Amino acid sequence: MFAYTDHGKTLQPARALENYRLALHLEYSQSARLPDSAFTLAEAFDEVPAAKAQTAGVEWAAFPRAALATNAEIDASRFQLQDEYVEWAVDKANGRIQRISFTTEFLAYYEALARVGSDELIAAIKAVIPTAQPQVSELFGPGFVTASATENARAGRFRAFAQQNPWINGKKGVICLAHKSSTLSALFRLVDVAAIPNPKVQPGAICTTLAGNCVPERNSDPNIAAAVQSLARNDRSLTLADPVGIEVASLAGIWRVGGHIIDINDREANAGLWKVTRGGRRAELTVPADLLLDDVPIGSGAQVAAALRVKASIVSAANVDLPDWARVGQERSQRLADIATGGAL
Amino acid sequence: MRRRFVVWLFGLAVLCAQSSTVGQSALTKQASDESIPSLMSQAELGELGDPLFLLVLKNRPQEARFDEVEKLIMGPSGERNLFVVDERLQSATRGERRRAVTAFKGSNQGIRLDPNVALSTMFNDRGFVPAFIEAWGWDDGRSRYNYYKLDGDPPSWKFRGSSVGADQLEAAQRRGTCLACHINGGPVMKELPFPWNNWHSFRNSVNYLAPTAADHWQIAESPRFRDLRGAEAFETVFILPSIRQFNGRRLTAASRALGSGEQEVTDGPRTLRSLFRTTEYNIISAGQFSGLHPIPSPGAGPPDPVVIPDTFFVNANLLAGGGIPQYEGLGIPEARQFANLLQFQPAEYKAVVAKLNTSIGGLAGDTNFAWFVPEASHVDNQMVDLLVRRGVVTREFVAAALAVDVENPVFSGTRARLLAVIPAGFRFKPLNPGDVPAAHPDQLTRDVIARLKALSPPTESPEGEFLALLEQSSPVDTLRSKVIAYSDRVRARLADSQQRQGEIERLYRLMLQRRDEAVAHNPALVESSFLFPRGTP
Repeated sequence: MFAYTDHGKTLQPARALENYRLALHLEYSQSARLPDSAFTLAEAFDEVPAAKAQTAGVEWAAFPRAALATNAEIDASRFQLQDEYVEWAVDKANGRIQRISFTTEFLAYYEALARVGSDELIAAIKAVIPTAQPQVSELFGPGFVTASATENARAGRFRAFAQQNPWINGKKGVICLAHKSSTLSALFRLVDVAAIPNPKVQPGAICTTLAGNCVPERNSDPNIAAAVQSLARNDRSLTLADPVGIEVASLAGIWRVGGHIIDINDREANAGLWKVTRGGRRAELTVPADLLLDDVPIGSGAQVAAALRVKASIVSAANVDLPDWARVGQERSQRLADIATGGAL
Repeated sequence: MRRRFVVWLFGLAVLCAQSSTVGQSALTKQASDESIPSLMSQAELGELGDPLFLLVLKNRPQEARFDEVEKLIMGPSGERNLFVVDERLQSATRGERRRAVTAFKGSNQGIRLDPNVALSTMFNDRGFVPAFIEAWGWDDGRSRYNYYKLDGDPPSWKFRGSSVGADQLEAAQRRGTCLACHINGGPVMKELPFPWNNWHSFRNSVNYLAPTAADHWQIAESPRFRDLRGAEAFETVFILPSIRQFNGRRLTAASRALGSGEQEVTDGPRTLRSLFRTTEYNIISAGQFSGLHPIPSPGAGPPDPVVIPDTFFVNANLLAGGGIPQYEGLGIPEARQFANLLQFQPAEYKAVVAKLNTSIGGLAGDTNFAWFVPEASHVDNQMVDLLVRRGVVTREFVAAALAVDVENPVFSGTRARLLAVIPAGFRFKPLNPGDVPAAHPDQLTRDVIARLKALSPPTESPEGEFLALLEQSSPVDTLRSKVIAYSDRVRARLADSQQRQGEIERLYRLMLQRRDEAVAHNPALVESSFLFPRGTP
């Protein structure tokens, strides 16, 4: 199995990392076996000369384009409206925004920890939010006995309870995504189907042909789908780059504190106001009273999301530069099956 | 910036003859394409404080190499973003020219680059047109945009004016200047909203610019094209913040503080112009391809049902608020109902395009994306939203103005007439976030009511309607009712099989009319006959 990277470095003990790698491996394997798709396993790129492989970031705005709602409504309706693989929570004190926390981290990451046990999950949450004191009932729901539950039961319960989990839903923290559409599997299914060349439509229109795997009204889905389709149509094979996921790219806009322009993306110059952590999967904006975005005070998380750029990275290489077993049309090759199955064992 | 290429060619020919008379070691200024460049004085140079001047032209006014100009702007840590826009973008024909826009992110020497400097250039399949750059830079200290142009033989940079007072110029004064296109003085991206019809974007990725494509242009292999980005980034990273900043400064400059805690607007009609007049327009379209663009050859029609944007019907962005533009809006979400009002089946769209003899660039067909139509501009809408946020006007006042001729959200001559009743000056209590807005009717509203009454306007006239609206307790509710009634009326016609075709043709003709109005509004922005399709009215 490919040694997928722990971007957050909180998958401990080793069993948690194994769980996560297995979850990823199953996704990669399923996608790589989709007939006619240019999606292939990450392992294939181990056999491609570095100079022949290209990694491209597909970038989009975190603001939910499909949400025809006000900023306040978008902030308040996270699980209905925040659907761009980016979710956030706003911390207020005395009616004023103090901090906005963004996450792009998949639930599957913490599910890998939940499989191991509640103590391991709690330790990981504390690593993300040092002041956190999560209770088992908050993570799995009332009445659930984690010690006697099976791994699958713990994972399933954790997943099912995610939107009520205060460490996820923003009441106490926002450690990961929980919108029903923003899942690890959704990202893989979007990329693998978009990687089937379809010369009947322009790459920019591919999203509308992918049925439930792509929502044309969003920023994220059609952006990813178009980029992947363009690669596939140009006879390139591709995969989601390791570590897989959505990365915070930058904050756009003109930021001022005390009337002075600051480079909000420069850690050395932003006085700690914008911190991007966990391999780009988490970001926090501290909001002093005199912080302005484009000369406007910060009034909502959605306002900042409109300036937030995130990206997914795709690795590709010309189909001829890939090993035979990984090329388009070889989705049922023995070697691919061996890797896929071997990893799962 | 985006001026007619033919104009540029003419200007270039004139300048070729003129620029040899000018020294090459200092920055020159040139008021218009026809005027002779002259050296700038030290005092004039001391008035320039934008990134392009500070990082390039101040010390290297003779620098004509595009690569070097970029390097000087970026410095060691800046980032280049390349965008491509052209009305013939769909053509992969080698030798044709395309327009590129280069913008920068990060900082250099403590100078913020994004969204404060942009270069506009031309390229073909093999390289960039040498010694031709149009540029703007934002001078944050002076709250103004400066415009520059590199051209001539030998090439030289010219300062081509600033945004100061740009909004007050007459058409004749703009001719041959950058302000022919930059009406308010700020950056212009005509096709600002999704799907950015003539721009390279995720929705419309240009294969000949992809170095991985089998038949790509040679230039796509150059390092600059590794920085190729989609229009979506130009919209959200560069243009929207630029306009927010620019409008904010313009509005600040438009009023002065009074001792009472109030402020006074010193030129009412100028400050409120965006509410009543279309100063600039943007162009929107359906999100779906028409499948009828004649380049390289017309297809079979739309691959998907075509959905007409809500902003065609009413100023939905401003009425509803929210969305990418980030307006607070008027709280009328019903305006978004229009987004679901008219959905053409592909055959239906293809038929109406053919029936009304639609052509583009002299060829039968349609734009790349269907239903390409001017809409109320972001620069106007954002200004109106800002007027409300800052307490200059009330939501009710804005609602009353927009309710007049609500079905024409852009180029409304009827609404423009009302600017005449705005007083030269008026007071307001500035609003901070969280403050309670002034109650309706505020002082401005009462003043305007008095001025309207003095006219004794007929009830059915725009002035009479405006007066009646302002005197209501809730013009917002009235506007909401008008929006709903309009939506219901169109919906009913479209739902009736006897009326549907007639209604579609009426709306299509209205779209054609809006295109004609856009051309008449500002011919300089129409770079070629491939911008707006024409049809039989």
